[in-house]
Amino acid sequence: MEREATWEGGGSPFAIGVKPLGMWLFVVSDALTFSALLVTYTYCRLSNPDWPTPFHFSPSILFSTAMTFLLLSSSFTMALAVRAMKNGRRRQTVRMMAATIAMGLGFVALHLNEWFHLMRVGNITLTDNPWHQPLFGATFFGLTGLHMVHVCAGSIYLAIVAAGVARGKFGAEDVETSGLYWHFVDLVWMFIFPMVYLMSVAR
Amino acid sequence: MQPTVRQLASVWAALLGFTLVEVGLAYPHLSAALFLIVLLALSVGKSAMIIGFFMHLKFERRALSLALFPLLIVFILVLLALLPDAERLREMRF
Amino acid sequence: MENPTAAKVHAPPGGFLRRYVFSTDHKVIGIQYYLLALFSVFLGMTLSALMRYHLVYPGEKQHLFQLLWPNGAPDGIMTPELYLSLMTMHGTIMVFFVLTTAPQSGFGNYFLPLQIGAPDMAFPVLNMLSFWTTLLSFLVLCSAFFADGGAPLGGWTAYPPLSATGAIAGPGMGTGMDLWIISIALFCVASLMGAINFLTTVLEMRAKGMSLMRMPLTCWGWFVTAVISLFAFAVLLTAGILLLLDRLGGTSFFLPAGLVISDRVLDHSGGSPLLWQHLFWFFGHPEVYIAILPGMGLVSTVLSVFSRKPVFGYKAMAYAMVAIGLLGFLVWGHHMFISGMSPYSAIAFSVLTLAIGVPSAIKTFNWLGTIWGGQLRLTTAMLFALGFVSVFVSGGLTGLFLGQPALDLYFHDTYFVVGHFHMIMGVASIFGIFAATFYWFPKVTGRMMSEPLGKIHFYCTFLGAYAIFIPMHFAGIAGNPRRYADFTQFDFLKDLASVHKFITHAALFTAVIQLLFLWNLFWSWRRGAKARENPWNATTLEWALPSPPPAHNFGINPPLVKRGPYDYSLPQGGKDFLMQHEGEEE
Repeated sequence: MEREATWEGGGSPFAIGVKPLGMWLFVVSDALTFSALLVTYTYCRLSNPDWPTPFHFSPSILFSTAMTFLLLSSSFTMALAVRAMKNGRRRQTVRMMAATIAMGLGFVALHLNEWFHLMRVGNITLTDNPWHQPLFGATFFGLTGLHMVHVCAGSIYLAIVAAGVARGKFGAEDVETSGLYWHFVDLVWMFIFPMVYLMSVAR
Repeated sequence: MQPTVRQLASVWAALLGFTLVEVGLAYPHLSAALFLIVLLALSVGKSAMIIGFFMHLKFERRALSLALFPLLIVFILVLLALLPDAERLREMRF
Repeated sequence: MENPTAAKVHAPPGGFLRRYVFSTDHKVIGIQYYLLALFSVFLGMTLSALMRYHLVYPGEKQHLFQLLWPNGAPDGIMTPELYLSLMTMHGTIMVFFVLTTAPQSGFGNYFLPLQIGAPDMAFPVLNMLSFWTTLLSFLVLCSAFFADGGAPLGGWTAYPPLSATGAIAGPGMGTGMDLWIISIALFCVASLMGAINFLTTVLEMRAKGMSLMRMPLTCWGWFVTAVISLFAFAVLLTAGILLLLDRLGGTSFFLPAGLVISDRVLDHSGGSPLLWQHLFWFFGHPEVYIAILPGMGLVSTVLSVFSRKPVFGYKAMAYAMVAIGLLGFLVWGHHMFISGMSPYSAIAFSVLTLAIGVPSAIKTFNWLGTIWGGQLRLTTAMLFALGFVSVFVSGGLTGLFLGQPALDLYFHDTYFVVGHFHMIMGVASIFGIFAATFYWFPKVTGRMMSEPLGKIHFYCTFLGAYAIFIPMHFAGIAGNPRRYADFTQFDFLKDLASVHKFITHAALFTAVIQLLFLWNLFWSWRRGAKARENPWNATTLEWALPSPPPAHNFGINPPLVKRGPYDYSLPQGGKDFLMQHEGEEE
């Protein structure tokens, strides 16, 4: 700790390792990617006043609320995994990460189910919908699709890290780094959920 | 320094609670602008909890937050300069 | 947390492939990037020479054109579509694979860890990955030449609606345009990986004593550029994904209702081409600074070394770079004054654009202050640095005209703009690359480049660059539009024919002169005079290592940094400088 106190270069100004710092920087960059997408969505919505608001409490909002709960809970178990690993409890870490992955995959399953429901029953596709407002489907599937890609990539990433932890290959810093990514994916959903779903509640 | 299990659990509960409030707010038929502002305010609050406790930024040095977020926030605000054009576009179209 | 600097010392790997091809050594990766940029710059320059030839001899049959592009030049005469596709590829190759690749990824990779006393970049494997992604992106881009219909016609800005509608918009707008977008998306990913690596390295890997305010200004340049890349490419990635969705998924993000293209009514509605312009230029303007900032840092160092004087106003220089980087994100609208954007935002963008003049002027005056009264040694590196300052000023001053909405209404899309951005973004950055090549060549290869050849190359290139681009401003003032394949049929441009002939001859001359540089580079690599450890008597840390540096840089004992980077013209006898790790703690 003394080295850090007299820091003048040659150490870490933030007192975190290179891996978490790299992940933080990625998160910041990816946050701007999603921000640009959300601004695009807002732009499309503002310039087209007849924007459809098709979501009803049941099933759409109920469904997406369940998805939100699932993602928030997966973030909670991930935080517990990071904590367990810091305290050197490998088995608990792997268990918690497995729970996180399971909930992430559950989220993807629910989401795909919802997509197919919208496409088949609601006739909402990427390019068209009953209201002839093609950008509704484009922004909806674009935003949620990019987010789903992040969840899928995250599940694979967490699986690799968990396997490494189980075999003793990865340490606390690796778990922490993967946790940062997972929480970020959760965080993005905290903006997509209200802006895409709740702002489109049928009135 | 790291968050305790108790802290993490209460953050989790608070996040679920905020979400329910958001869903509840969707039904009193607020005006779109007001609704959006309230929703975004709640979302920013939720993000702050996720970043602070789950990503344990609250337990890192202040320098890290200062290095990461001011620029990001400025650039997100700068992107909002697109929206006056969307307004103009709507006026020209309808 | 372990100390990151101590843990990562590695021996050189064995085997040719691991050592020179799939290497994780930042020095090898830096050279790989440099060679990629070198190949790209000659490819891009050849394309521009062909375009210039066609512009002044539009009716002359060339068997070569027919041979290279049987469809694009069926009877040996370039079609307008072929001209546009060459222009698109010239712009894209130059901006992305030369101006972004060489100064930042090439020199930055090689010298950033050396200058801050680090054993390698923070993430060596990520570093290797970002090079191979860049190379893949380059190959995808070049494959557009061979795609059905040829290379895209959209220019490096790829404005929709034509870029979003597919093959009906013209040859090359089908598969060629798809490949272009995929290439750019890959480049975004590669640049993000690079930016994360650079930032982490600067923040966490500096040797003891190397505080931020003791970093050489080159490191400041790379650092600020990495910050810009981190944000700018993130937005370009979004724009690229959306454009690809429009083309392959049939969405309408950038396509309004009622479009008629090639006599067909398109079934799209709701989108806006203006949205692309906003997203693209949010990246596009900072990109200009990605190209120029590393050069600014390098020029500061070179001017100081060869004037034997400290950089005038070190802190002001560092802060000016930060200010330029930040302001660069607030001015993108000046590319869109006549796009139909809200005129109120145009005023804001104009004021902010002119505000960039302030940090730019700080830099220019400090460069002049640095050489003022110094003992100038006019080596080739120094000449190119002085040339940089010169073209930076000439190119920057015309920016003041273009930053005014009222004047830009007239100048927009004329040769005035072409002259302006080639001066400030193209020639200035290239001069930075030349200066860096001559300055660091002894460190990289252990040999000196030929000074006489270098000087001939400099004077010819310097005069050539002015002879090409200054007349373009006059053509622009006369109303000559850009991106036209042929303007012999316009009466009001007839009188400019001789100007364009002059420009073309100057361009061909300058292009041929570059072979001299190529010869100098490869000849000196094999046969140049042996270089000492510190041939320029410079102060920064890379010169404390043997030339070329060993695979593990400083080994397990990184130097202890005791002073700032520019301690020249010291009064005591003997040496007039102290290196950063020499002497007493300051």
